[in-house]
Amino acid sequence: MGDVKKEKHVKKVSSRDPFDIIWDWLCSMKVNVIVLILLALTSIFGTVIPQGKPATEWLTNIKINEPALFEWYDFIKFTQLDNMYHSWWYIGLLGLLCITITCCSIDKFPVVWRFFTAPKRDLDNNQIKWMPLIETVTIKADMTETIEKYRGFLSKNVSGTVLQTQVDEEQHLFAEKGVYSRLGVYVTHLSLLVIITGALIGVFFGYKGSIDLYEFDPPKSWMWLRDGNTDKMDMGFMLQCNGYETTYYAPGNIPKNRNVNFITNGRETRGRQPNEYVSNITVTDNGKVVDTVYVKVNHPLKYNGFTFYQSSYGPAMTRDQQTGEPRPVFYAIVDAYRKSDGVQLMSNYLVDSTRPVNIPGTLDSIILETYSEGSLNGKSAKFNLYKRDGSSNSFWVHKKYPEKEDEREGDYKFLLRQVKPKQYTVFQVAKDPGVWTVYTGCGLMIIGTLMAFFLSHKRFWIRLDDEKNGKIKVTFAAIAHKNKENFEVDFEKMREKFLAVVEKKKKVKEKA
Amino acid sequence: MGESLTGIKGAAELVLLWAYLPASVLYLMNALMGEKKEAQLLKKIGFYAILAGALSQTIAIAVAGPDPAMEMINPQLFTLSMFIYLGASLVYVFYSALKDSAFGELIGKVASSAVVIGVMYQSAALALRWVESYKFGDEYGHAPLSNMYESMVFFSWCAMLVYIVFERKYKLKVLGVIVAPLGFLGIAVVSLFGNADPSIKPLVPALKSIWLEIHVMTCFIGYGAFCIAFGASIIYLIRKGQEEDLEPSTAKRIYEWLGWGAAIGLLYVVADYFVPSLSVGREYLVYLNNNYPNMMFLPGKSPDMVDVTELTEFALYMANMFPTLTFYNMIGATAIGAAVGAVVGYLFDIVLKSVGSSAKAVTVLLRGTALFVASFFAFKYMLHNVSGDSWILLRGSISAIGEMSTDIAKVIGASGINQAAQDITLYSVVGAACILLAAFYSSKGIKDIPSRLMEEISYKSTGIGFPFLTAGIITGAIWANEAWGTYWSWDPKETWSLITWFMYAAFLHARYTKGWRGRRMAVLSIIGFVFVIFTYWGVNFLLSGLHAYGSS
Repeated sequence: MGDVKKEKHVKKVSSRDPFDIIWDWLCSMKVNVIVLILLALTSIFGTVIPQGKPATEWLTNIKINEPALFEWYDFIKFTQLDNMYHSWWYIGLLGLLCITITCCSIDKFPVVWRFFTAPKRDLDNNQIKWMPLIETVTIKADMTETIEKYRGFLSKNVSGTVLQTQVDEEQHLFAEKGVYSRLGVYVTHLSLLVIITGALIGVFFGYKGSIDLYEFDPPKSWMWLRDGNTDKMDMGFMLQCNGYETTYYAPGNIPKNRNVNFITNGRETRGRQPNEYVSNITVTDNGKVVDTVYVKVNHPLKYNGFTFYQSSYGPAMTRDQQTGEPRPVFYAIVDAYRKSDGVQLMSNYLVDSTRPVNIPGTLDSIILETYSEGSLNGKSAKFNLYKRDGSSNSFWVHKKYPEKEDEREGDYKFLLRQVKPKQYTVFQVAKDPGVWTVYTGCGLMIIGTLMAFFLSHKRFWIRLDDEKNGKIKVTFAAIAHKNKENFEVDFEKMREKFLAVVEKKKKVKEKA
Repeated sequence: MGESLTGIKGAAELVLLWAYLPASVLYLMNALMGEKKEAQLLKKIGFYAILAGALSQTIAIAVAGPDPAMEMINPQLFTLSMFIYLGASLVYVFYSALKDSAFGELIGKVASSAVVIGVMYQSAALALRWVESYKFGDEYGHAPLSNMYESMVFFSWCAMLVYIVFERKYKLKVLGVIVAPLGFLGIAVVSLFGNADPSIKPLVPALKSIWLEIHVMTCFIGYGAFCIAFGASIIYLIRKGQEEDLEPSTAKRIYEWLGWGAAIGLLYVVADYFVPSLSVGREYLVYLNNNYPNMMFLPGKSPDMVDVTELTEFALYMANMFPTLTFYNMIGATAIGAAVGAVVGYLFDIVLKSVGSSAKAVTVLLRGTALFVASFFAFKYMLHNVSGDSWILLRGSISAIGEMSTDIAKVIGASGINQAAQDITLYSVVGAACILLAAFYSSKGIKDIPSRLMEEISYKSTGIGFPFLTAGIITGAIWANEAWGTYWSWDPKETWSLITWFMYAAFLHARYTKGWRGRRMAVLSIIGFVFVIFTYWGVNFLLSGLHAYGSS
């Protein structure tokens, strides 16, 4: 580390042209820290000031509901604080962060790279002076034999690769562990750049939008693009909704708290809790049915790069022909038989309340007028039958009492399978080719931070000095660049093993 | 369910209850016995007893299946661990104060064991809650991480778990003084004072994902680590001050006491904000007046003498006189409370010095008590003294506390008296906290700690917390992408977690240069933790109304 400082010092003194000044500025940690803090503090505004609201919203709702905020309207508009995460200055700050990160990394990386290309293999006298974890023994032994012994010690306890160097008369052995942890910081920095790249890919090549599908409507191939909600985009394939349903949890056995008064003041809530919002969707591509799937929250439909997320639902409405008032649409699924000969005319047939449908094989048609779901009769549908002679009559069909249909006067017998309000379901649609880049960046970031904070680079040296009288002075030293206290404990164990390498007999008592 | 099954279930429950109790006793005995072999055995038995308890409960539920009459046991266990943490906090303070005495080591062991017992109870409670959620029926079952109650309890658990690791590693108990109360508060705010509902709710569709578990767990381990960093930074600041100035001047002492007063005032404001029942607002006064006519507001009159019209008039008068507490009132009250607390604390110091009290532990406890009592009444007084006739109310507030606690049996509406009971509990806790802080501040235990060590622990724990926070944000983003179709939408919660991340990134970078050390790092770390708390709590309470705005 000492030589790094020296190098920088030299650089600063020798040349001060503008490029160097800017470079030094971008590489300084101070700038980095200040940019991070600035990003943190300015981000707060966006969580307090409404984001992405059009001017009309400001001039109406916000003006009334939050007058204190509205007083700053001109300032907010000028500084783009109402859409700050997309404002030039916020993106500028993010850009500056990326630049400083890149510059810092480029500036420091060569030093770190030297740990890989040219590790310090020898233990010089200077190191012996300052290194805190060090141990020395003097033994009576043969040099080559001793080297092999200590080489074995290092390769067994540290790593397989032990480097041997000779400087002057001394022999040096070097082994290391976890040199990759030095890269953790750079992996983390790189990951941030990768994430931002992924985000940019998403911004430039992705789509965000929504699609609304009505139950049993014909397949649909276009979606609304999010901005403005007037632009449509063709997806190149079709979706059809075969049904939407909100399922509820069964009224469960709610465990009571023993000390309910102490803890909840006796409150207890029960009620129908939605379990899932489920749409059944058929995907059609080139006229062929590709798949029929259930789409739920947390279980999106993925097809052809598009992803569809269950986001909303509601009742389908239509305008009443007479009054012009909106009213809900119902639909029924029925089977129909001709009473005279028992021939089945309709099977699983959809009849809704918007327009009459022809009963196949006849000239009569039928429409759903209304429906009810009472405790007495269960699900019941009121149909209106238009006959070819112009007459019409309406009648109720009950799902619970199919036998009543036999008693009813008329040409046809109807079996009610289902009747309910027609619903629509809304999906958020996203096509984001940058997602996997972002995920790669995220993965790198997790790996990088783990490497940087949980691993440390541990280096071990053994130096053998031939004392010329058949004695060898063996010096063992080690250093870790992180978690130094833990390493002290590890070193203590290593030291014991180091001392045990040579049998006690051969050890020569050191002269003070 | 058959008779025999009920029998098995009952037996299993009995084992459960009788397993935890001896386990705790065994643990404490282990602590008392020290390094003897028998102690290790006791510890093992204790551990297996707890295991047996949890297992038997699991069997009970598995055998019995859904049973509407069966009661949840987990909130009780959480409450129990809460009280254990409270006890542990106290013992840690005693340990700090009496570290060098004959009992010092023993007290330290009791404190550490208490924390371990608390964590075991809490672990059992978490596991039970998970199992118990299946009592609703299979589709209801989920990990206990889904609402405020569950997440607070989990936060407390994570913090204590990380704490145990650090205590073991650094053989340092002084952090417990800060962290154990946080563990206590984590449970207390939701089960004692708060309005969080401990009943198990089925998951809403948006939460039905495996990412719920992954995301919450990663985030909260990070929060737990930041909790340690926070505690270490606070102790660092205290120690740094002490190291630099061994014989503080009078001005400095007053300044110091003012600081303590302000800290307590802040505690009140925070407590007041999160515990609405503490606000002496309009409704509360009207309620008190309606329900406790004999107590305070109309001095000298027995209930018989007060007629209904007079009462109503009085209620109206009170309502006009005391509008719901405003922020400025609270700040004012805090300032006065702090100042009075500081002056009284300082005077008390002088008195104690002149008397020549040598019993250090007693001194610090008395000091803390004096500070608390003074600031408490000043604060109370200010709250009531919004306008005019304050004496009646000061007296009233004192007698109200006294009488309400004795009058608890005469409850008219259960919810009302609970407010009063909660107030009393809260005041006691705040008071106790003040006393403890004061005692801790001047204790021997803290004076043995070099500030450098605290700085290092703060850095280390941030180094653990940061990767977890990173992973937490990332898992959150992946989940968002699975559920909403976008991995980042600048939602306030997301943004605040990013803000926190920026803060800690700045902290780590500043530290890495080796240029930034000392006080500003400690302050940065504390700010970071405040941001963590805000991300977790504040966003829910303060910005929830703006949630819709956040998404772009």
